[in-house]
Amino acid sequence: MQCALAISDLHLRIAEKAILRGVSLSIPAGQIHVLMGRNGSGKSSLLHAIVGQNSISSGVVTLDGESLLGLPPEVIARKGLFLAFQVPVSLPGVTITQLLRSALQARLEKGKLFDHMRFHDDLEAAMKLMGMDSSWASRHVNDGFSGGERKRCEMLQALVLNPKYVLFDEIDSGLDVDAMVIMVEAIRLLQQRGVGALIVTHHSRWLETLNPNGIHFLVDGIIHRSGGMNLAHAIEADGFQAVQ
Amino acid sequence: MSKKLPMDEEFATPGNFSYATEYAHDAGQGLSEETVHYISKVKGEPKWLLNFRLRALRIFNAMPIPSWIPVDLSPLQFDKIRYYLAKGQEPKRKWEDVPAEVKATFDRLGVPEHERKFLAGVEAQFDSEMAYANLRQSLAEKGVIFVDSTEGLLRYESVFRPHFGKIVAAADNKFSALNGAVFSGGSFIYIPKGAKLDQPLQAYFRINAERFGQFERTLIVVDEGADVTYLEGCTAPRFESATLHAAVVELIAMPGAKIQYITVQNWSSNVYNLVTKRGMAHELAGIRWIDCNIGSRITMKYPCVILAGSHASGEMVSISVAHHGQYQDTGAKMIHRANHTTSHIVAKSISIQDGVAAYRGMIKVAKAAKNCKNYTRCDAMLLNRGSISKTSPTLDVSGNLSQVQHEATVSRVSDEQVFYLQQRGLGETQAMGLLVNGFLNELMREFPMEYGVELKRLIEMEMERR
Repeated sequence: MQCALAISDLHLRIAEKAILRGVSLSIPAGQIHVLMGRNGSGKSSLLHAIVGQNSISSGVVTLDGESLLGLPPEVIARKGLFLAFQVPVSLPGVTITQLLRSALQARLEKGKLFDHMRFHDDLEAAMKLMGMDSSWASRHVNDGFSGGERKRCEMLQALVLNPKYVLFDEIDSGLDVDAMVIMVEAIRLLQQRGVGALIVTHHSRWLETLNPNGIHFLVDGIIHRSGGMNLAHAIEADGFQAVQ
Repeated sequence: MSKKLPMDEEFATPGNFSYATEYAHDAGQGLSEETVHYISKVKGEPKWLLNFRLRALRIFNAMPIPSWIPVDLSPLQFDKIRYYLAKGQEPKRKWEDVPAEVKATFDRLGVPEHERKFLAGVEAQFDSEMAYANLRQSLAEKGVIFVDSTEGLLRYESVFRPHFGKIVAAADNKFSALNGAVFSGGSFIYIPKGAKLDQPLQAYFRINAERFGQFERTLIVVDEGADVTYLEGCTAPRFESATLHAAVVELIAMPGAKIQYITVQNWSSNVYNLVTKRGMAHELAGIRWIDCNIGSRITMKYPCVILAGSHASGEMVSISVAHHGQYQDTGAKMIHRANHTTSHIVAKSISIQDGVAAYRGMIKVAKAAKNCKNYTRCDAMLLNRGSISKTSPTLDVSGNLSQVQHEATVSRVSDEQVFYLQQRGLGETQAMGLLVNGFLNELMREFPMEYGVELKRLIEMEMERR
C-alpha cells in the first residue's frame, strides 16, 4: 500500500468548459507541496474536485491506494482530506465548538464513546497555538470574522480534526506577517504528525520558511512545470512568465 | 371502543405513543345539547357551569368558521368527533397506582426517572381526565392549588369562578366557544400571594382515541408578587383520520406576579390544533409565553397578553417547524392598555419541503396608554426551494408617545453551507440539523434544560424525515 494522496490524469469539465486537462500529482505522507498559477488556471477547481465537490470527468484520485472517485464529500472528509476554503462560508448560530464536536462525532466508530475530555484538551491546545483566547470556542463559525480570522479558524479546525492531508486554498491571502508566522508553525506541527499538505498560494516569498518538498505550476488545467524552491525564486524575480 | 394492540406493535413506529385504553364514559359521536348535558352530568357539575356550556354551544353553532383560516377544515367532521371520553377514575395520587401502560408512555416521552420525583406536581392528562395527579407536600403547604379543571371548579369555586371565562370569553371565537361547550381536563392552578416555587409545574397532555377531539381548559391565577412556571408538553399517537384539539388557556397575573407558560407541541400530523391562549397582566406583572410548535397538520395559535396595569410586561418566544404538509400559523398579540407597558416578541420558524410557517402578529396600543414599547423580531429559515414563510404583522397604535419596532429576516440554507459541513465530515442531514439548531440556538436557552435537549432531538428527528 502506498501512503500517499495520488492524482492521476485528472480531467474536469464544468458546463462544457475544460477546467482540468490531465493533472497528475503525488504527495507522500507528511510532505508539503505547493500549487501556483495565474487566476483561472484551475487551482481551486483541483482542490474542490479532490474533496468531491465537482464530479470528475475522468482520471483517478486515491488516498493510500484507495480510490476516492464518486464518494460523497463527507466520506472523503472522514477518510482524511481537509479543505481549508479560500473564502469559508459563515454559519450563523453554530459555534466553533459545536462544529468540531459534530465533525468528530461523525467520525466516531460505531459503539465507541466520544471522549469529551480529550476533545476539550485538543481544542484548547489548538486555540493556544493559533493565538486564540477562550472566547473563540463559542464564536459562531466565520460569522462576522475578518479575512484573517477566517483563515485562522480554518487552520484551527485542521489542527483539531487531524486529517491525513490538508488542502489549503490561498492560505496566505489577507494575513499579516505575524499571522503568517503562526500559520507556518501550524503547518510544521501538522507535518510532524505526518499530515501532508497541498498549498495554493500566489506568493512565493513565504515559501522560504516553509521549505516545501515540491512546487507545481499550473497553466490552463495542466501542470506545466514542477520543481523545488528554484521555481519559486524564478517566479519571485520575473513573475509567472519566467516559468511559462 | 379502543382496540387492543400487542406491545411490540404499539411501539413499531417512532412517534406512535398509542396504547390500549378502556373507557368508562363515552359521549358518543357528534355534538348536541344532549352531549353537553351528558358531559356536565358525568362530571357532577353545578348548574352555572351547565348553563355556561349550553350558552357556549349556542355561540359555537351560530358562528361561522373564520374565513381567514388558511387551510381546509372540512376533514374535521364535527358530527363524527367524540367530544368526551373518560376512564371514570379519580385522579391518581401515588406513583404506584399509575397504570403500567401510562408509565410506558412516560418512558416514551423521555421524562427521566430522577426528574419525575422532583416534578413539583405532575398532572398528566390521558384522554379527558387526569390519570395521575400528584401534588408535592411542600406545594400544598404553600397554599398552592394544582388540580385538573373539574376538581378546580368543584372544590375551589370561590377562586375558580370569578376568573373562569373572563379572559377568553366563549364568544371570542368559534373554537373557544366549542371548548366552552365540551371542555374537560386541563389544569387549574392558584399561587397565593408572594409564593415562589423553586420548580416548574408540569403537565403532559395526550390524545388517545380516534376522532376524539381534546378540549382541555387551563386557568392559572397567580396572586400578588407570586411567581410560577408552567410546562406543557404534548405528544400524540398517529391516527389515520383528522383529530381536533381546541384548547383554551387563561392566565391572570395579579400586581407584581410573574407567569411563564412553556409549551412543546408535537401532535401527530393529522391533528388540527386550534388554541386560544390569553393572559392578563396587572400592574408590574409579567407574562411570558414560550411556545414551540413542531407537530400537527395545522396549528393556529397566537398567545396574547393584555397589559392592563402600568409597567406590566408581556413576552413571546416562539419556535415553529413546518414540515411537509404542515401549516404552522403562529404568532402573538400584545394589547397595551396601560402606561409604561412593554412587550417583546421573538419568533423563529423553519419551513421544510412544502411546509408553511406563518407569523401572524398584532400589537395594539390603546389611545390612553402612553410610553409603551414593543419590539418584534421574526426570523424565518427556509430549507428547501418549495418551503414557504409568511409574515403578517398588524400594528394598531393610537397616540404618539409609544415605540413599536418590527424586524424580520428570511434566510435560506445555502448549498455552500451544506457543502462546508460535509467537507468537515457531516452527512447532509446532520449538516441541516446543525444549521437549524444554530438558527434556534438563542431561543433554545429559554427552555428548561431537559426540554431543550428534547427539542433538539425532536428537531433532529424532523431533519431525518427530510
